[in-house]
Amino acid sequence: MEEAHRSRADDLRAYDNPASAFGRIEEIYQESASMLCAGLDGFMKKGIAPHLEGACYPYLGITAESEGFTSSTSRAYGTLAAPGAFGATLTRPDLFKSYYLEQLGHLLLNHPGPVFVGRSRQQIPLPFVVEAVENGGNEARVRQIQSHFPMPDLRRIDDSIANGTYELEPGDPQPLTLFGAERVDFSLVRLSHYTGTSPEYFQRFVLFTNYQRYVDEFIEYGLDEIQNGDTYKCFVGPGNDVTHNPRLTEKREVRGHPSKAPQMPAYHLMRDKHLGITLVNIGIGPSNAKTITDHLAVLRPHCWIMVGHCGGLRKSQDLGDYVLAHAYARSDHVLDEDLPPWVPVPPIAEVQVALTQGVADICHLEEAELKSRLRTGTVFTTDDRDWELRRQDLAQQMHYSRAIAVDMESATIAANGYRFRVPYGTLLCVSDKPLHGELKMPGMANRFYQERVAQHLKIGISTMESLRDQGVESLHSRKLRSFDEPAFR
Amino acid sequence: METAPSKATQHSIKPRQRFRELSDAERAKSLRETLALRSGEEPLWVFGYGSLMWKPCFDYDHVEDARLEGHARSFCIWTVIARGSLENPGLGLGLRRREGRVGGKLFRLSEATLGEGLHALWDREMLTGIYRPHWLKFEGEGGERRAITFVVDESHPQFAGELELRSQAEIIAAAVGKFGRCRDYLAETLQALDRSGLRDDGMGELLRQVDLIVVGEY
Repeated sequence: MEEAHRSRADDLRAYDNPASAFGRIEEIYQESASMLCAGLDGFMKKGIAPHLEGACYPYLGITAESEGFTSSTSRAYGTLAAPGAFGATLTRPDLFKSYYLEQLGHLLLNHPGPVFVGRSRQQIPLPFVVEAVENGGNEARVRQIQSHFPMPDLRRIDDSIANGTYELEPGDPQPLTLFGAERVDFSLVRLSHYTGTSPEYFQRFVLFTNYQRYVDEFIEYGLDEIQNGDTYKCFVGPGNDVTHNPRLTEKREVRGHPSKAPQMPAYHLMRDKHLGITLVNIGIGPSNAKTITDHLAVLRPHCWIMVGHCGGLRKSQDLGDYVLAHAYARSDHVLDEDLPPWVPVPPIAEVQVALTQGVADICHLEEAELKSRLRTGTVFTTDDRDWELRRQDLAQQMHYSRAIAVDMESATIAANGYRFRVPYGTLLCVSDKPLHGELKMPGMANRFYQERVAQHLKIGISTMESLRDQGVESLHSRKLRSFDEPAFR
Repeated sequence: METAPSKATQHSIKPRQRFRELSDAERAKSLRETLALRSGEEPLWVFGYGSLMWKPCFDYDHVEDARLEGHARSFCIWTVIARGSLENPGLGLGLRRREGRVGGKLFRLSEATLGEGLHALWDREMLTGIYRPHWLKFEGEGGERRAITFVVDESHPQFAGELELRSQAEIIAAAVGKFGRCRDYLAETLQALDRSGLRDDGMGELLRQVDLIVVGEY
């Protein structure tokens, strides 16, 4: 059983217990990280060439025998799709502790162990352990470091497992996770760069917005929860600015300031096991929407939802009405190479129901009124902000798709959620009606619109809280998974 | 101040060495065998009657008071690590088949962390094999529920046998282990029962006697 993993790792040991297996993963990662740190220290101070052969990612593998093999049907993940050997490199056990323990728990419940943990042959790139190393000296010094230390290699970093396009060498174990360790580390660095907050602050319920006012409201809500509530343990903003809840911890505030304004600032209302809420202001356009979701996906969120503004495409819509996306016309094009546009991106029932209930609760709307103020239908996501200048072409596409709203992010976020098996949803607020003469202009908003905008973020928060409270298990739907799915969620 | 057990308790055969611990593989096998008896997609309930009531080791999304017929809670297992030592072994709670009924708490485990939660539960309750996992029927707040609980294996060397209340009190009063005083384990359990209105008069009397010994009034 162990042999199948020897092509990928050394020093393999068998474990039948999730906590013990995790302990070994932690040990290997820490040893490797310490080797890199010590190696860099020796090189910088004394010019000693480092010995880093063993500074590798931990490896986790399992072999399922054909005899008596069964896949568990009780949930959409956590089980092997077929008998055989499966393996993965893992990283940052400090950050992924609850996730790894949860997945190991399912794996060892559904299949006879053991799992094997060993040292992979994949060296950990130095910048993924020691931050800002590239700023640590002049150009020549940086080049020297690059020649002595492992650096990220894009030949090994891709989405082939998620996209289903990977090719195995004969005898190689099949994938156990959607992302290899280096792909995960790559994203962790990017997340920090783009959002101004470290990955450890991100929560598993994520709201995206393209509207600054929602950020202001989230900050107000978050700080009020910290000052008066007992649900969230701290609130974090860009620059890793941390405000602790004095009733839940004795930790002191850490006032941080971003060195420069991040492109997509993130705010985190934190709970244990990352079960709080993160809000990211992704700005405008599908490019940002793809970037942030490409990287957030490695943190394995339970749900991400877009709460943004859109153009209403029906005369019967009023400014301030809500749109619940039930389907998407993917004219954003940024994911066409990763997920062909003909692939339907299905709505997730649990998210749709929770968003609808959120609107009804926060806006106090009964059934008939709810239907007139909350429209369900197709959202058309374009990559051209000035699509109005091509009205003739696009009006036909909007006709074909029966779209009821147009925006620039929702389909991208949903499609990338589908691609990475992260449950998704979209609730938009109509801010203009471009086909009916109400173009987006400064100062055009009316009182009704203002009121709805004020309620919109609250609906997002309330939806996330209700999804969390009803248990995340049912969110991770089978409709996001393929026939040859890796076992780790 | 704690006092050593008096000669009155010396007749009970105290353990002289640690009990053999099950291997991780044996424990995982026991867990899988127990789970094989779970029917379909039924929610997984676990019944706690001792420390699980006040210190569960798994995520759960619902908890309720419950009763079990034909069983009794009893300080009948030796503990030489958690709440006692080889010098002064303590007593832990077990469920024995007896006439009457026993009150405790039913936890519905969170599905999302079920594997992790059950492994943690087996690590704790199936350390040595003094307990056997059983699926039994309980009277819960929502009617009859099938749940897993841990019943004492009376043939296991860790089984302490039938001890007089006074002997139990003396052993408990003297024992301290890795997780603290054996007396506190009893007190916490009693508090958890009281908070739920689940009376256990025998436990109340036992704590009274333990505390009298501890303050030297016995």
